[in-house]
Amino acid sequence: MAVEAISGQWVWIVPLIPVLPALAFFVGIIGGGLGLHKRVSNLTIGAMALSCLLAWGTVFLPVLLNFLGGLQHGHPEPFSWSHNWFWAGAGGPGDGLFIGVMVDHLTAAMLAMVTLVVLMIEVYAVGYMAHEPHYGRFHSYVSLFAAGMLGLVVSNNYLTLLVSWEIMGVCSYLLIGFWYHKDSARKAAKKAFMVTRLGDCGMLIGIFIAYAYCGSFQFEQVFLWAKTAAPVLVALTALGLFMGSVGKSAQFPLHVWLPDAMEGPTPVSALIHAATMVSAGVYLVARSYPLFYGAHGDLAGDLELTALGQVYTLEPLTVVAWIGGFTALFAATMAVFAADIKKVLAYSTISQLGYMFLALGVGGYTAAVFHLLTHAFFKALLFLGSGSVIHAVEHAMHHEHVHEDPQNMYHMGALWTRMPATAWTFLLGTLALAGVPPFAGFFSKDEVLLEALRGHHANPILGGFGLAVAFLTAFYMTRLLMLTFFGRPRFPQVWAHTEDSPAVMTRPLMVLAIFAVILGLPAAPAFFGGENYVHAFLNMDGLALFGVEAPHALRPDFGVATIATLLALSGIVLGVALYGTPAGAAARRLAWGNALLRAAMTAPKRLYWMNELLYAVFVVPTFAVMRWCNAVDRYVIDLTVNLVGWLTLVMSNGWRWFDQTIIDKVGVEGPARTAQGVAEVGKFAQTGKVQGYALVAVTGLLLLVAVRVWLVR
Amino acid sequence: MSAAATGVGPAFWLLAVGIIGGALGVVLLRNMVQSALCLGLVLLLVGGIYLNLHADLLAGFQVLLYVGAVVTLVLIAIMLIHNLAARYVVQTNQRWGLGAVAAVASGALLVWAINDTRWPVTLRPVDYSEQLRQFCLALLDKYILPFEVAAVVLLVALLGAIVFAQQTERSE
Amino acid sequence: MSDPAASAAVQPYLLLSAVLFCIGLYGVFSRLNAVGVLMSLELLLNACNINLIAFSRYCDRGVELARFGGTALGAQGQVLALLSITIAAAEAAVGLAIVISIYRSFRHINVDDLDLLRW
Repeated sequence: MAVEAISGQWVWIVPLIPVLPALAFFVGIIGGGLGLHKRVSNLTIGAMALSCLLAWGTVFLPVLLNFLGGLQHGHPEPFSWSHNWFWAGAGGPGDGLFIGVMVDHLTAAMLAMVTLVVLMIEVYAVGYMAHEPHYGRFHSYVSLFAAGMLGLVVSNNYLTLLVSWEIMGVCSYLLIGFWYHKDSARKAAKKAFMVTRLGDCGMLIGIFIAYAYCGSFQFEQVFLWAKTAAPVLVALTALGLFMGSVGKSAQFPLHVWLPDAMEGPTPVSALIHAATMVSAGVYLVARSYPLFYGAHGDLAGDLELTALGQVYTLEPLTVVAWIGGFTALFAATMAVFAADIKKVLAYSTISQLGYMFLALGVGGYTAAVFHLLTHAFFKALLFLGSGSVIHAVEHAMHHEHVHEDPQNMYHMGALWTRMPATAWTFLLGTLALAGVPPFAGFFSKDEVLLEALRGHHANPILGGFGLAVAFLTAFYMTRLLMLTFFGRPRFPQVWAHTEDSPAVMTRPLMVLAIFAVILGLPAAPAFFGGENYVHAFLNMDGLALFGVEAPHALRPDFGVATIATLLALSGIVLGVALYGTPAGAAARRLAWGNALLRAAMTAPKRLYWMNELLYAVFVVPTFAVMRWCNAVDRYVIDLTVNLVGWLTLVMSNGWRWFDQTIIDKVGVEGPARTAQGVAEVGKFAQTGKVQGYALVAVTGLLLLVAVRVWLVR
Repeated sequence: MSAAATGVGPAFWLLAVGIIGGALGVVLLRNMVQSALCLGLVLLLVGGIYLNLHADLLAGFQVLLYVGAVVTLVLIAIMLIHNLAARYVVQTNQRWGLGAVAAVASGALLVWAINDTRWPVTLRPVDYSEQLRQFCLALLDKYILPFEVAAVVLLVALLGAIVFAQQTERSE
Repeated sequence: MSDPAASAAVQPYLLLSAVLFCIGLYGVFSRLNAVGVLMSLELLLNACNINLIAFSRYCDRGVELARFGGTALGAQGQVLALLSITIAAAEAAVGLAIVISIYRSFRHINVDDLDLLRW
């Protein structure tokens, strides 16, 4: 009911949601250049608040109310609304380019999450970036970034989705390299841009395949096409899109850019690693799920590879699941050994994104989207909290002239008493991420594990991965908490000067903390035989509109939940034991003393040499090709060019001679010189004596008459 | 009538000698006043030639306009221009010899042409009243446009003369 | 009609006109002062007028008139002569005004020295 009343106005309201921050960017970037810093942030935050208001008031809440109303009368109707704004090219649906917006439950939930988190981050950045000379530029970029994410979420076609996707790519480049005076920031920005570009190649190919065979970029048209098209094409399209997701969401093996991206200001890290860019990859797979699922549902039609006389079928969803599961575990082990507080969170993000892909891969669409939403809130909270810590420690270090890395956890300690607001909110975020009930992370993670262990495409190995990650997550987060907020201070004078961040930074933390606590509760009644509101809202029923017969999500029960909770608690206990007690410290020293253990722990500490591997696989060959190209360029092309140039020179010298001698001297100057010479002589005839003229005239007349009379008679 | 038909009478020859002598006086005399008086004589005698040709109206115009007006103008101009009437001022430029040759040559050409041409002469009786009538008809009918143009030219000439004569006075 | 005897009737006038013209021409060429040049021009014009009147007397096509039982002498040449006299009068007036104007500017009217429009 509520939706029918409002959906007519969505035609112009929904485009407005991404357009407002974009406009704020265009105005703000000029204002930032003019030095109107405070006003720029007022403008961008105002635009974002307005977007947030529109997203919540006109999209999310009406959709939610409509859904709840439907729920009371039994099963709620599948709901998807799409409207084309512009089109180009001839023909009707399925032909030409259509650009429009769409709203369904996924879009509504994403809009609500993105606008709120971005708004919190922008408010937080007012405090965090207060002393930044390029304050206005920063807020403008953030605004454009948000516009890109919102545009991606409301797109109803792959074309504007790609455009928004690339806007985010550009903004991530600009924001990671925001402190461009730092060499490491410049390198990180380039790396992020290039590595995601690798994935985007695949995404472009996927979109091109879809357009080439379907003739449309629109989701509906592509999904309807996927139902009847050759499964190979659908599988290739799905894999191409997933490649884009791998780059954007930092999955193995393209995860290397994300830890380096910590070079950007911490609000940027929160923006990129919580609300927007990395979740765009998960969103893309979720949005394109009919392509993946359709391919998965029909085994005979999946991508068949013939190798060594054996036929292998490659199912896109299986690829998604294995890459996600492996990345989750792989990144979690790296997070355990990281010393930089932001790096721990970065690896944690990669790990959690892997979780989401794992859920998508095993058919847990609902679980993945649920985890995406909860993770956005508590990971934004954790990043902003770490930023608050870094901010405070940096100031204190600066004040005390201690020249140490303010992001290194081993330089912190015992900050609980110094900055209670940050510590409390951080603790809530940690518990949510670790999956302790009844925090948000517990419910979403439980769903993921449930799908991985007992779902329709469950795999015991992947389930094991998930359980291991649940344990590791709790462990490394406890380690972080212990090193940062507990124990004894490493630099007592710094510790003494560390003060909690201003309210403009801690208030957003509190808002996010509230969501980190309560967001999982709608799923809680399912444990006690009640309705799982998350499942009902984020189910795959909408996919039925595209002809996908998706299985319903599993009902959570205490079995998996208990295992997961026990694992999380044991991780916490281990973390406290190792990093919170003197015996733990001794055990750690002992472990590093053991050569075998030391070797085993070096691998994750050195990030499994993935940077080196990618360097060897991509960068070194590229440089080799470049050297070849350089040689060809220098010795073949340049030679030809020089030869042509030399010939031109010779010819032009000849022409110059011809031009100067023949054309200029004879052709151009000749008549002029002749006229001048004649005039030099002839001017003496112009004596100014009138009677002389008359005499000459009469003489001439006489001569003419004489000639006529006697000679030409 | 027959006398007119056979040739020119002695009056013509007297007039011709007077005209040529006067004309030579106009171009050769050094005193400009004497030159002007000679011009008056020539113009008067040309009027006589007109009478000899039975163009008595023209003769009247000749005397009135030329002798009465133009010669008077010339005399006034000479009077206004200082030092012009002096007797022994050199009055010819360096090219007078060439001018004489050209004049004699053109005269020779003209004389040759006149003698070499057979003129389509038709002798007609002269009726003065009829001739006057024809003159007036021609002037106001066939040549009305040149007549009007001449009137405009005279007006413009009058204004021009005033402007030229006055301009320098104002600047003085 | 145009026999040599009749042709001889007009020749004296033409010869007189030619001589007068040549004398005027010489005056135009050789006179040093502008007033003399103007007077010589008057001679040229008079020579022309004599020609016009002579042709009007002897070579006129005539006018058909019943009263004469043939053609009567016309007066077209006289009209041209009258116009010529008119123009001559205008020329004399303007010319002399210019001469006086020149004199006031240069204090002389020597035509040879009025050569500002030379190279």
